Amino acid sequence: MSAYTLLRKIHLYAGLAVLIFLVMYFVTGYPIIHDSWFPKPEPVKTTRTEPLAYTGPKEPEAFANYLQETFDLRGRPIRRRRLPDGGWEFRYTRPGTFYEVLVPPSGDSVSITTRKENTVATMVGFHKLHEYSGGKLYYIWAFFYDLASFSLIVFGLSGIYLWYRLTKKKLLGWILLGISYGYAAVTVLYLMYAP
Amino acid sequence: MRSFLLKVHIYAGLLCSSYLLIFGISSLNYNHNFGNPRNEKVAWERSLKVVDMEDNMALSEAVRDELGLFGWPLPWEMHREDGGNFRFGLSRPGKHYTIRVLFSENRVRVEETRKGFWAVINSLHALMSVPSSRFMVLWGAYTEFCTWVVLFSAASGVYFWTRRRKERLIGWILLLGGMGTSFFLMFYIWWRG
Repeated sequence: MSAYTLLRKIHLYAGLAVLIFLVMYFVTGYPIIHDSWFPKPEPVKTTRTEPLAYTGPKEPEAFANYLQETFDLRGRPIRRRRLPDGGWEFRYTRPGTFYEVLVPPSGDSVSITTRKENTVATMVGFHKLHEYSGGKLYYIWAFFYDLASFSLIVFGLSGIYLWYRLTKKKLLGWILLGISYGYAAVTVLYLMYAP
Repeated sequence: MRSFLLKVHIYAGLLCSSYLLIFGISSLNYNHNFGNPRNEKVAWERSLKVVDMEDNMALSEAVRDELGLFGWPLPWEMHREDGGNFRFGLSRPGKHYTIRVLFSENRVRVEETRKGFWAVINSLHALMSVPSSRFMVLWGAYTEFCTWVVLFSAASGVYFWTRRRKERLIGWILLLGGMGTSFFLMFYIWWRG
């Protein structure tokens, strides 16, 4: 198999495999780059107080896991901390839903505030979901995220090779490549060294 | 039609090639944090006659512009000091400034933190503009253009594949497998994540 055929297959197969995941990133990124174009209705907040009878270790991670399982708080733990008054604060999130959990110093009750986000905020939540943490499901997500990110680099580089082998007249391609990389280099240098 | 779409796919792709690289590398960086900021500090000062204002934000913007800097003044880093001087933080991709305005001495002291290459690459991810920098408006236009190019390239790439008799089976397996997994993951995380 020639290098051209191999790279063309990689370009095509990677594109088909990550198509939806990659398109999702560019679609959910749109409300981030045009924040003012999208409505921002207030999220729906509800608070409930439940009795608590936790007797396990007072380690933040163990306590957070217990609360998550007991009160069905689905999501990634993003904060586990002891408050200055001796109480505890925990936060869990997944795209579209956010939980804030407060345990008073007495430790006999728990206050759970649930925030349900609107569609746009949920989209942004998906866009910002990264890093290998929060359990198997989020590890799979992070792996797909890596695949999509790596595919972008593959598309950018393999596309140059495919163009070079596919076209006879190369002037326009060289000009566009020069503009692309020249402009990016100038921008990076400008941000690094401008006063 | 196919020939025209292929030309747009290739040439628009070439024009966005560097953006794809920056976007891909910065995305990987968000997942793995391999490029930590350098945080190199440099202090400098300049003579500057500044007329005090009640509005901290307006004062910060005026000082920023007088110093020829660009970036976002940070409201949570604005303080009136005991001696009547004013201190504020100014942030922009690649740098952070802590600026002290010494009204009585007609001087400004600046502590500049240079974050280095990786911080700049990260900040170019979906950056649209930076206050007081005309140059960076162009990057916003480039971001917009490349976003649409990626969406067009995805659609046209699928179209090119459908025009080929070979590679149908492997294409369907990858497309449906990727699509099914992606939708399932999104739905499951949203529903029960």
